[in-house]
Amino acid sequence: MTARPRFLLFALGLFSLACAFVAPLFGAESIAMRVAVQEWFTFNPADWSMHARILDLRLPRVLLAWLSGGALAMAGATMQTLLRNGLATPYTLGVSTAGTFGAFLCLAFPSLGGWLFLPRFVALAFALLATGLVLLVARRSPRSDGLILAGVTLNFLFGAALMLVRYLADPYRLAVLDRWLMGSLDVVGFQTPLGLIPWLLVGLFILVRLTPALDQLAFDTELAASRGFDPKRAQRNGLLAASLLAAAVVAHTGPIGFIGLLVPHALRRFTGMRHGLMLPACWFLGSGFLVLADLCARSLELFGRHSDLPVGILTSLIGAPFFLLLLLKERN
Amino acid sequence: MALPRNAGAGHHGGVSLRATTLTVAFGPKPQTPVLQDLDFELEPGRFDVIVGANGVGKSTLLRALAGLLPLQGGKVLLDGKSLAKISLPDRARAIGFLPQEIQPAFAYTVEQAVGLGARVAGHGHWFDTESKPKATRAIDAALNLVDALDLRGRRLSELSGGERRRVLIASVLAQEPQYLLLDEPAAMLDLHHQAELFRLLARLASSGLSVACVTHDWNLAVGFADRLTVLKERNVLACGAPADLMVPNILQQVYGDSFSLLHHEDGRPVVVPR
Repeated sequence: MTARPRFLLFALGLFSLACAFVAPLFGAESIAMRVAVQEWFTFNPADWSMHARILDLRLPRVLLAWLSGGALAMAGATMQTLLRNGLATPYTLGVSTAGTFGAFLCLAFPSLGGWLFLPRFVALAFALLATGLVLLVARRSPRSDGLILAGVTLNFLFGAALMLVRYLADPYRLAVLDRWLMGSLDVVGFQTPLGLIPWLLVGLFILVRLTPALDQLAFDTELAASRGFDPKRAQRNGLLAASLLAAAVVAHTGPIGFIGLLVPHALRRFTGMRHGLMLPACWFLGSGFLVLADLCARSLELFGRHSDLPVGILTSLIGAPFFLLLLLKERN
Repeated sequence: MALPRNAGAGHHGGVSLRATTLTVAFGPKPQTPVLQDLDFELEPGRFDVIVGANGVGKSTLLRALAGLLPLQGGKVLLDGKSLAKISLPDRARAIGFLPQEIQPAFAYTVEQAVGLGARVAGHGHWFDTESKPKATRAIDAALNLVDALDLRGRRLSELSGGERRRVLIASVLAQEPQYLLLDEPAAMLDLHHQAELFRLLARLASSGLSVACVTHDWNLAVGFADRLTVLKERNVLACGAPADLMVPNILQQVYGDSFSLLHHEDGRPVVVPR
């Protein structure tokens, strides 16, 4: 009994790291692993052969997948606890739609992009703006479900705004917009994944400090209050942190679905509602899962050619049946 | 049997949980007070029961004593110190509060539910409370106090109403509080379990804890409580030995003419609805 939680964390951590280290070695092109790794570690791109160059292309992508998967799973677990609803996702409060709207603005009207910086910054700004609005409305609403209703409403609002942008956009740019909507980890260079890290660190820092409060809140709000945990404060900080994680990921990759729903569900029966255990476990499983899904996405051959499928499609295609299976098993 | 820490009077001078000129109001301004200038005191070793008509502020009083409500006036003093000046963790270790209804949104085992209380008392671990020896002992001790040790490995969702109530009380007892406040703990329980529960609360009180509970059931109060407090119109109508207060005059002020006062064969008064 004593060993179980430790063993679980250890095993998941191992799985996650193994995925991260092995995935770059595989893909559409097969490379000579030893050569590629040896050359890459000279850190001298001028001397690299094809093998090392391909490895170098894959590394940032795998890093981005690892970070995004972990963050989305953790954000999902937090959202589900705080909204006391197993169906909540990192995107429930409209984070994703708002972020997508921001990105669409930049992508549809490139002339705006000139002074509005990069799509991912605008996406992040809008995603956080939506979170702020939801929290503001919920705080003033006397209803206990004010939060989720405000989130759903903003989701519709930004959904409509999104359609408006699509309608007004140059038809030639629609393909770019659609591609963004599918969620992709297709990045060049380390800038994108490294740019994601500071945002994630802030969110993680808040969540780590919040784990005792999350444990008590998940059980009962009023009981938690009597045990010295301020439910409103914990809810606000927790939702901000989870939204920050989700918003940062959406801004850098586009919406990637299902990880935030699937991973916490799969793990909860093993970890219980101990967030000190559950959140890191979610990170490890989520990161490993997205790295593997991305490996499939970039290796898969469809109709005789490499498809380089957007990973958002794949996570939902794999995730949905798996989730249904989980639901069936829960009955027994 | 492990007794809660700090249990017993005289641990430090003037041990009590006391509300003085308490005023609590809710709703849109101008707020109408639910309680006004109310004085009330809890003492270790005593089982207090609070009764009154619906909406008279029984739960509000309990929640104010637990420090869960903003006060419009007056103070709640824990051992002479204002509750507002006591840190939240210290407050949680002194005062345990069980709301009327608890509905966890996720699955818990009995062990985990009680472990959440044990963590408040400091028997915690950031991811593995239930298998730490100190926490295990604290969980066992709390379950033992409510005679629910055999439920330890069960799921909360598969327990009967009475078992569930006892486990939730154990979870609060695992905080090792000096004061145990319960909001209608006997609601939804059958007659047998109501009596069992009140016997348990009386026993906890006689072991040195201060127990206060809100109920509608005067008969239970007469059978088990040391002191009865009747609330009416934002304040205390009467306070004293339960049998002394169960008289037509007081009952009439609370319930009008909708009751009959009988006498049990052992001499206890019994009130039934008419």
